[in-house]
Amino acid sequence: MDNIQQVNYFDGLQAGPKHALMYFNAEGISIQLGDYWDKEATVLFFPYQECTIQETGNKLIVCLNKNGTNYISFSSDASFAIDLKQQLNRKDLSFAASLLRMNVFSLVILVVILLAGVYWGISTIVPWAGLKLIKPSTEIALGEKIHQSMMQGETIDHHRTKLLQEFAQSMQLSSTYPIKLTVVKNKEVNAYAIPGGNIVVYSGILKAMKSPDELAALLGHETAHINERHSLRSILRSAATGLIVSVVLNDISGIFSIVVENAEGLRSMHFSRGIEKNADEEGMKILVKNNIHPLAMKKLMQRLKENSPEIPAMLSFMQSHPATDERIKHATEFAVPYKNSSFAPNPVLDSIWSALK
Amino acid sequence: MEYNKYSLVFKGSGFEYFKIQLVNIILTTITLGLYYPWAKARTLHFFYGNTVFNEQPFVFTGTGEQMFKGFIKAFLILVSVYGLVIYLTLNEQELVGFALLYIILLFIIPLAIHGSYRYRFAKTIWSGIRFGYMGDKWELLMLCIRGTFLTIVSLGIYGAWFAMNLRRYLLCNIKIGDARFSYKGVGGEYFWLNIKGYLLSIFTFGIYFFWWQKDLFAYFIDNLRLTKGDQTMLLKSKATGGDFLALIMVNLLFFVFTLGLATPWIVVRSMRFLFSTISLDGTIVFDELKQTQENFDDATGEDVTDFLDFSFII
Repeated sequence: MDNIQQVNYFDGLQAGPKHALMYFNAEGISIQLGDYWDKEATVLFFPYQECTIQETGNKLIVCLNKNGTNYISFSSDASFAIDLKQQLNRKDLSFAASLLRMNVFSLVILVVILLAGVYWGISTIVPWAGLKLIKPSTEIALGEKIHQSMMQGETIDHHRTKLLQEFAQSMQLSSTYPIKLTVVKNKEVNAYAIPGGNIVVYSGILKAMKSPDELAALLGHETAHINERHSLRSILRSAATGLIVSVVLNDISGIFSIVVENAEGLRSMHFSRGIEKNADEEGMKILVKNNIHPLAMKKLMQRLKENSPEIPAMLSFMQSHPATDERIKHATEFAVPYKNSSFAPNPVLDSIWSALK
Repeated sequence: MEYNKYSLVFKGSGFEYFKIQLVNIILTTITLGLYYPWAKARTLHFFYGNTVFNEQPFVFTGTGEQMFKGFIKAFLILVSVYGLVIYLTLNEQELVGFALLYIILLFIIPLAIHGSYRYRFAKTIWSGIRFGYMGDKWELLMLCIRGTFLTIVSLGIYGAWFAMNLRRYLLCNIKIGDARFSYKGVGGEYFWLNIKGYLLSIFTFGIYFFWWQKDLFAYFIDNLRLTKGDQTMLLKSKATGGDFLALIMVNLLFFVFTLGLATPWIVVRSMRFLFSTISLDGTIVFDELKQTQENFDDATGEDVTDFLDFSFII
């Protein structure tokens, strides 16, 4: 009984600290009210199992029951504080406690490693799982809906749509997706693919093109987007990024808005340069398969370049589509092995082409 | 009756809070979020323990286990609600789905606030005395339904009255032992305060915004009081618009130049500032407060409000 200590005791009946004396042993904490220890007076005993300790600033609070209305508080500098903490923390060998004992620098490094791991994991798993889970049939059905809603408010050129559809049918474009074409009356030089098989071509781009193989190259490029599921890939990728951002910022609605934004982005087609390059390449393979010289892709791009408004070099680096020079170079390189091969003219395509013009 | 001045001091350090946050992030991440309730308990222990009134700190006695049970319940409730809405949306019943979602939320939110207040205040202890929330959940529900309806009908104008009715109801039902809080803010004053703040902020190119914030804070604090029998304690804010300007601008600079890493320090210095501007004086003898409030262990409401991302104080 030589280690009796003075503490403030809160009895949970009335506010304010009461003077009390306390000692502790292997089983628990004993408390007696008052300033002097009286062997005759009541001693309150609290086993450690009922006790919890909270440390804030330079004060230690030991709650003596589960409701936390009875507690003692004392300075954490007190000589007995370490011993009592050890008694109470014996059961607290938790991972959390050992983390709290680490220094901040190591903790920061741990957090960085962990978050990098989570980022890598989510950005790999989500697109992978998404591509596996979403079947082409779902994509076709969904694409059809998107197409319908995008065509509202557009003027469709039914005559040219029919001709272009014939043009596409006389080519081998896709074995997985039904390629459906729509010609929209619009002066803009533009065309885009919707996941699942729809390709929308503006009359402006048809007017700009000078030969049937350019049109074939365009269809090859857009079909490649569909076959390679580029839209789905980029939606999944940004959904994964969105998921990470939302988790970090605690905002679930963010995920939905990102999906919406991407659906909207189909029209303006902000694919990454890597994806565009891939579509060019796959498009050229389609051309070769259809017995058309892959250099048609280069011709198409040069045509588009002539028709696109001047964009400063800096900007063109930011936007993915107009990085035309680099893509032209890439197309030329691709066509090198076919320099000496001969590609016979295709009378069917030629005749549909003249009708289209 | 003796007249006394008291002070409310926050003495936590940004560094300690930063460390707590790091540990919480690590544990929450590796448990895929399941650690969240314990992380929250640790954070609350930090904030309560470092808030000192009349030389005694507040103590938060809620535990991670209690909040985990609530967390699971809240999760199940919300997953089934959202599941139903998504099911309806996928079956081309978008309108029914969204209508249902808003109606369910209109019921869930007040009930969650009620549960959250009951739990949080039952677990808040000062000087060994429990706080308590005495509100009735059906009264609160009616207040919210009526408030939401009138706010929609009046194109948002009634929002000011709704906010004050809600705040009054919640705060007037909070007790600490046998002393009771009361709030006397009213919709009309609050409405004009906001109109004035909004218009002057526009005319002064945003400069008045800080004075507007000062007014809002003062309107919250100055209308708050604690009574026990014939004893009262009044609260007053001494903060000026200039103080708010300095606080917010410095916080913003800190945040931007540390890419958000300084957030714990920003939170701590804001708490220190806000508490230091509050003066409390009156005749309540705090050591005579008696324990009267009951314990309450169900944290479901607390967790629902977390999922729905509500801040606690309204």
